[in-house]
Amino acid sequence: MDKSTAGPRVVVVGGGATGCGVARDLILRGFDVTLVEYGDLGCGTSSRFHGMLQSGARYAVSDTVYAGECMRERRIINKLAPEAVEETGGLFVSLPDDPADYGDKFFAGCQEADIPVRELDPADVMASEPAISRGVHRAFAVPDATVQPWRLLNLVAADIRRRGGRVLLRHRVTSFDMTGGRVRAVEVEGPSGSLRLEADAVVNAAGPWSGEIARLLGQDVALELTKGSILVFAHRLVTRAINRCRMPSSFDIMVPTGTVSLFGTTSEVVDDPSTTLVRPQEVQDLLDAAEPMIPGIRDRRVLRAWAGVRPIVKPDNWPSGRSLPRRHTVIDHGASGAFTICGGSWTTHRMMGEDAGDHVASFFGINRPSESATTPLSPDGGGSAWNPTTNYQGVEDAQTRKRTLCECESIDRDLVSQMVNDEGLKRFHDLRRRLRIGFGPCQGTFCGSRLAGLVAHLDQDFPAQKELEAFWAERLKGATRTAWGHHARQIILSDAVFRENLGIRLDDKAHPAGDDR
Amino acid sequence: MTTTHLDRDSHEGRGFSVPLMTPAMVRQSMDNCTKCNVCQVHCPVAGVTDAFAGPKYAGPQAERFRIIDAVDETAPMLCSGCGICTSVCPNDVAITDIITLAKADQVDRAGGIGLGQRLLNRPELIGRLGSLAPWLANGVLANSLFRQIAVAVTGVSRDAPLPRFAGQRFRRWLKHLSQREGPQITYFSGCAVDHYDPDVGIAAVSVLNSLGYKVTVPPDACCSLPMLSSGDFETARPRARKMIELLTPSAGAGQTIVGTSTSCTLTLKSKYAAYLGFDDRQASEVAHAVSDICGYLLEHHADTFAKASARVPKRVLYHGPCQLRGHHIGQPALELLRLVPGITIELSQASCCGVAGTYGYDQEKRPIAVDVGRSLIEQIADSRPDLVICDSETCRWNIEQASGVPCLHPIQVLAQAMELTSGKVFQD
Repeated sequence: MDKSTAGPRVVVVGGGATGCGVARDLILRGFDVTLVEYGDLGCGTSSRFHGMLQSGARYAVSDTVYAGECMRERRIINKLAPEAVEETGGLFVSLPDDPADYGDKFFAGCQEADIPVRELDPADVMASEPAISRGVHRAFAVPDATVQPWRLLNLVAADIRRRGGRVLLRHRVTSFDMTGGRVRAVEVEGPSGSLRLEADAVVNAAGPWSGEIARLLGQDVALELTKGSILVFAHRLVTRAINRCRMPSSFDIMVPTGTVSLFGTTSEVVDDPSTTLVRPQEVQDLLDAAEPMIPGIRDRRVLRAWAGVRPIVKPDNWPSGRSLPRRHTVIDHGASGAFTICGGSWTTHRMMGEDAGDHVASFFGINRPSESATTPLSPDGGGSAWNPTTNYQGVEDAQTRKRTLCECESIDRDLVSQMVNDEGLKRFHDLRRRLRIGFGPCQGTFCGSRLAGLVAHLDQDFPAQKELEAFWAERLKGATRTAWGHHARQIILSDAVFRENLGIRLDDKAHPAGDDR
Repeated sequence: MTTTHLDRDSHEGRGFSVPLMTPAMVRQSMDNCTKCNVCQVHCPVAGVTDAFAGPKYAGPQAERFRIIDAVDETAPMLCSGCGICTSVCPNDVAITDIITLAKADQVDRAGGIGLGQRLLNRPELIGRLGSLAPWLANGVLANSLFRQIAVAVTGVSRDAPLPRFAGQRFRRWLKHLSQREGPQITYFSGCAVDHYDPDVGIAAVSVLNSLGYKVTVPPDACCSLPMLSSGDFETARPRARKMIELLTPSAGAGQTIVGTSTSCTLTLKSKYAAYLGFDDRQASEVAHAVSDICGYLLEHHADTFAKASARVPKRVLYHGPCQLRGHHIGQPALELLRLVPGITIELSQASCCGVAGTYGYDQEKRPIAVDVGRSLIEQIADSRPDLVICDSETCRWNIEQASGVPCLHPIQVLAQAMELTSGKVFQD
């Protein structure tokens, strides 16, 4: 066994960016780590954001220290996992409505935060980004990038497993054994029944559900939950992440990620951490807000809309009306061995893990510094940079067009077979997240049935028909909110294929947690 | 999506407006694709070979990747550019144009096109060279040793339906033509008429004269379609601009510009905008002045043909070329032919004869072209018509070579119906 299994036992609750960051940091410090996730990795907030790996420029004026931290972490992540990062670059553009003096403050803030920033000629920017407004009067280039959340989290989880840790997916925490006022064990329930995980410490990294987990620990954590909704456009409208050059707020960012582009984000306070409802008005508000940045945006096809819930810890006596700090908080729940880590961002998740790791290590009196920034994620030292054209280029190189399973994302049938055989993944939503099956314009219409055929062929006992019903019901849910024009034609065609050709009935029962993104 | 086109009402009596799409609009149309596969099913090339993945794959699907980063791909290269996918698409995706733009990107990345295609792309140059001594040039081309050497050097198929050089017969005829004053019209003859198929031009001008028009024929120049459809945009660009300048006096004077080549006229009408981004006022004016000759005659002179036609007691098979669909005018030649007494018309059941411009001339693509055209050639063999009628020149040469049945432009039959004998109307 790996040396790490000798250390104190820590259960990390939550398999999003935060929990994965914490679990990896702990296992590198020699703890015996078990990560518990109620759905699939990153199926909550960690995949329900705009996909940015921030240079920090967004916060260059509002929080220069945090901006510098983002830049530092963004460099680390790219070094650790280049195969999950696309170096898109980012632009901050001043449009006529944006404050004239922000550009200079922005430039100074970036320099102070050690973010490489360059002012560009607006004419060059408009020429190289034909979709954006012709009214750009200042423009800055910063090293923003995008991250493929599921890809990165699966790399982290694989590293944890390789080092002797456990990652339990689809396991829900039901209670904590806190006999004697200290963490003794965590009771979880999974697909094959209940489990008792003996533990010396617990880190609650459950994101918007942290409040619920804290209650099971007998603690009260004051969170503000804000829902952010995002529109998915059918192809890349821009080549770089485009930000408005003004104080960061809602409705101000367009990000090219994968084969699509995302525009966001709304912001409204909600009570329910599980809410993913995008209100019709939010869709209209997003389109209205995007129009000045991308004129004619309403003529572009929107594939779907989805929402995530950000958990932000409300500091005591925080003045109302002021936007809550972006930074994370680690709460030490006294001498019980229980901790909650909350807030923060994708970009800083490793640093958050380090911070939580410091707290846990000091609780056990262990003086071993974090190694998460310097230890390679993969044994082979990381792959080549992520590029969304890789799949298509691969099919063209090998001339395997007739073997394509998902046409929109150019995914080869063999890639899917390999994942089913090697990793035992059969759930359509799990395969979808790993491979991006069904993410394109047809939203799973053609690949869905091919996937059902393939999985049923590989495992005749797998309920492929039922799985397909749930798959389409879920795709339909996100896609109908934006179904007008050509996308409405798509949805009607797709629905006809599923219902009339394949004879499936829509299964509108509750889906397994987090499958609707 | 917004398209730019001039108001048709302000161009009464002129060409028919086809919406002008620029490359950006062509690319954006990828968003309309619902993956319905109608184009895949109708693609003549995908129907005969697995080497082409089909228009959906090479068009809107692959385009989502191409706009992200440069890719090395062969997907667009086997498209024949026939345009059938675009015409059957229920969602207005400019499929053929997306593929042609991708082809041009690949040509760019490869640093240009091959020698054979470069030769095929210069029909007017080859025509001029051949015209210096047509008897010698035709003799050489007919020589099988020469053809074998040519295949090795250029990649042009030895079985390709090369036309015979005709010298400057159309231009010489034109020089001696005396025309009465009348409403002015411009006839765009194109390389085929100028160098290989003078009878079509003679018939066209004769028909227009007899309808009372005074016909202007701009100087001999190529529209550059072969360059465009093989992806050599950079060579085509200055030539296309020169072509627009040649036609501007006619368009500016409010004249209609009619043509007998459906593919050349389609290039002038919409491909300069779609491929080269020519959407300025001058280019738009020319684009909107251009009309297929049969479309124009049907619109304005159907009555004349209905009243005054002589009997043409022939059994003909009409094959509407693929490119005609891009004009959005139906099959006007067919409707005019139906007005001619005595004629018996059978319709081609094929969507494409396979040759698709210069596609079927390339050694590598020749077998595909032959397979695509097989059903048409079989239909002709079964029904043994006196003539095949087709609006496009390379289609006619291909059909005539493959079937052994003479193949004429509809205007030649219409000239016969009007008892015009200045050109050699039917081949002996």
